[in-house]
Amino acid sequence: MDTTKWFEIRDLHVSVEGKPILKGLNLSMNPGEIHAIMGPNGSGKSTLAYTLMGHPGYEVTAGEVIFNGQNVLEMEPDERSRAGLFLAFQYPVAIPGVTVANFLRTALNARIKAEAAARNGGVVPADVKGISIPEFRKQLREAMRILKVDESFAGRYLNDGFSGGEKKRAEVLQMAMLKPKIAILDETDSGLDIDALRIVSEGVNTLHAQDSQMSVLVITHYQRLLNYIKPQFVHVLIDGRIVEAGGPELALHLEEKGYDWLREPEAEPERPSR
Amino acid sequence: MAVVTLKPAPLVKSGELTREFVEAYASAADDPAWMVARRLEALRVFRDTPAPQRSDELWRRVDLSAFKLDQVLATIQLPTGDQALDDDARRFLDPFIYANAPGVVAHVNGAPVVSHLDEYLHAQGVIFTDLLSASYQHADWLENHLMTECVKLTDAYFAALHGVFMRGGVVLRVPKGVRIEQPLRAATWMSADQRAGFNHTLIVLEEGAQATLIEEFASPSHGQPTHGQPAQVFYNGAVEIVLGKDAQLDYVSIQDWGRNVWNFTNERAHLHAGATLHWVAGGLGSRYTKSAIEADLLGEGGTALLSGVFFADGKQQLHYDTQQNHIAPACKSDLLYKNALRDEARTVWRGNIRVFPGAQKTDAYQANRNLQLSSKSRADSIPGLEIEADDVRCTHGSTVGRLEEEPMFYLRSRGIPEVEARRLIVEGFFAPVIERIPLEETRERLLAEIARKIG
Repeated sequence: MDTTKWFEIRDLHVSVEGKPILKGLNLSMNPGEIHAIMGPNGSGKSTLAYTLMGHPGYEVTAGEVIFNGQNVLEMEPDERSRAGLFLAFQYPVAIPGVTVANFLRTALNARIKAEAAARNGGVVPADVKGISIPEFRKQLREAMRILKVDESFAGRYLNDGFSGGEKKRAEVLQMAMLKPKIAILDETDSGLDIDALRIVSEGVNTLHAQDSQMSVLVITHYQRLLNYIKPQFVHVLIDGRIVEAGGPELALHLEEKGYDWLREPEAEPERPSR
Repeated sequence: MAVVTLKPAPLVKSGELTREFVEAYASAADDPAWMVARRLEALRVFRDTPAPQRSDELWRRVDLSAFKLDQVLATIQLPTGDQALDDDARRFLDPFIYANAPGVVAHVNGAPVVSHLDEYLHAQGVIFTDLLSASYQHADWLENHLMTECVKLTDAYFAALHGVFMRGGVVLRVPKGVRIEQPLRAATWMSADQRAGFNHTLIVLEEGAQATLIEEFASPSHGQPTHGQPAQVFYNGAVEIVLGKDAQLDYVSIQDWGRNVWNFTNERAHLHAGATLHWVAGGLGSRYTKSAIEADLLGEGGTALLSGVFFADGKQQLHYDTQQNHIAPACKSDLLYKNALRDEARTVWRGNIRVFPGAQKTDAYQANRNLQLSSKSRADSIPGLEIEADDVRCTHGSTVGRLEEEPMFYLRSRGIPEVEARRLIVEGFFAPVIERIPLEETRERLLAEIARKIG
């Protein structure tokens, strides 16, 4: 019997520039669940996020990622996105000269064309032109309304000159438009003041409420974000492995005790006696 | 020890141009007498002008060894009148012929095929017509302006040669105080069997006049092969712009020549007091381009905004030499040239700001940005400042950057395929310049051509 979950990471090993970062990570999620991965700096949190999205700088040396029966690791980053994965970046990249609206319309059209091609033997039918401009504007306006984003956002160059808070709101706006099945939030709280944090979290919660089948994987160093986006499951990542898992109470415990109690005692390096 | 003197070899062999051939050319072109005289004068100047040499600073980075000017000159055809339009020509020209513009001038192989100006502008004394018609209808005026004050025969080798053969192109004159809100359009097509083109653009805006002219040049890339190689095509154009006091001109010039065209142009604008020039140059085509583009600020308070969007691929080489000459005080010039390169393409931008003695309160800026999409492409960026006044603000910036991994990954993580992601980044790179083109149709065509170049 195949016991593969809807989304499952199995024994994932990842190296960056030859250095092992993830060393056998296991995790699974069901539709609609909210999971948190917490861990100290350098534990491999962002490596996990980038690897799931397919960043070329991260080399998978062993393990599997299965999503909806598909082998994610064999897919290109854009294919992963179209399959329903979404990564909200810790450091969103500026794309000068490309407006938020132009970018989002290109992204939506890429989805429409890929779907049409999949139904048509891999070729985009000539009559598939993508989303109409009025329909796109309607969707964008609605998403901006829900997320309380100013309409002028649409005409600005993507992440170019955005404040930290604006960048994170732009990430959530993209999430709203692309409607992922799994949203991975990589340190979304970093660089946000409490007001911005609240707005961004509310946005994620609103989207989750709209689509109860959307899963969320919150990657964070601090418990703070989890006051706003409440996970059902918390995993602790240390030195490339999940070392502890539990419910929301685990996050509070970590807030209080830190991570040290979970670390393996390190062998004392031998010193030559002189 | 004997001293060996190395004679610098010219970059191009000029071949023999005879007076008889030039007279036959003028006669076939139906020139008026003054034009014939102008050509013969140009021939004299041309014979006295040495061909560019590798030791010349402006030609140092140029490899013209593959270009056979002598052969090209030997095969220049005598002008013929009516041009039949093939499908390629139609496809290119139709948007202009049917454009909703107050004036349209279109040429095929140097012969005018459309020359239209709305009656109300004609009634106000506006001239917008082809060079040949103007040489008869406005003979005195044209004789006074054509290569006499702006681009001159003695300026350069390829300016003199242009003077010998100039044919086709537009003449625009806007009288004092007349303002033309809608863009005027001009289009030039060279068909596959054409070996050479010599368009001349002359724009004169008198005091307080205002106009926009959008000019596009193209030819098919599938030139007729001779001995397996596509035949070389020689294009040698000139652009003259004279802006009177407080005149305002938007000028857009986009070349999308076939990949067998060797393109040499001399382009210059004279700005008198208070004049404003927005000049957007676009370069997509040609095998090789060498353009000298110059703005001379001759009167106090003039403003020249020079923008460029250039995309080179394959083995294309695009060279632009720009000059911002501040002769009068309190003028502003701002240059932004952007190059994208892929494959083994090469671009050279050499820009000079010169502030003459007495040109105080000059505000001059130049920037050249290069985006390399391949490691085999090469972009040379050579800014220069020559300042002979003391109360000035002159700055420049130049950058050469690669297509970076992080923006590509970011876009792809949103489901955008690789080629589309690259297209977005290149479009974004060019956006600040393309936004300065005041006609959506032209912007769209440029963007479509850029998209086609990306893949």
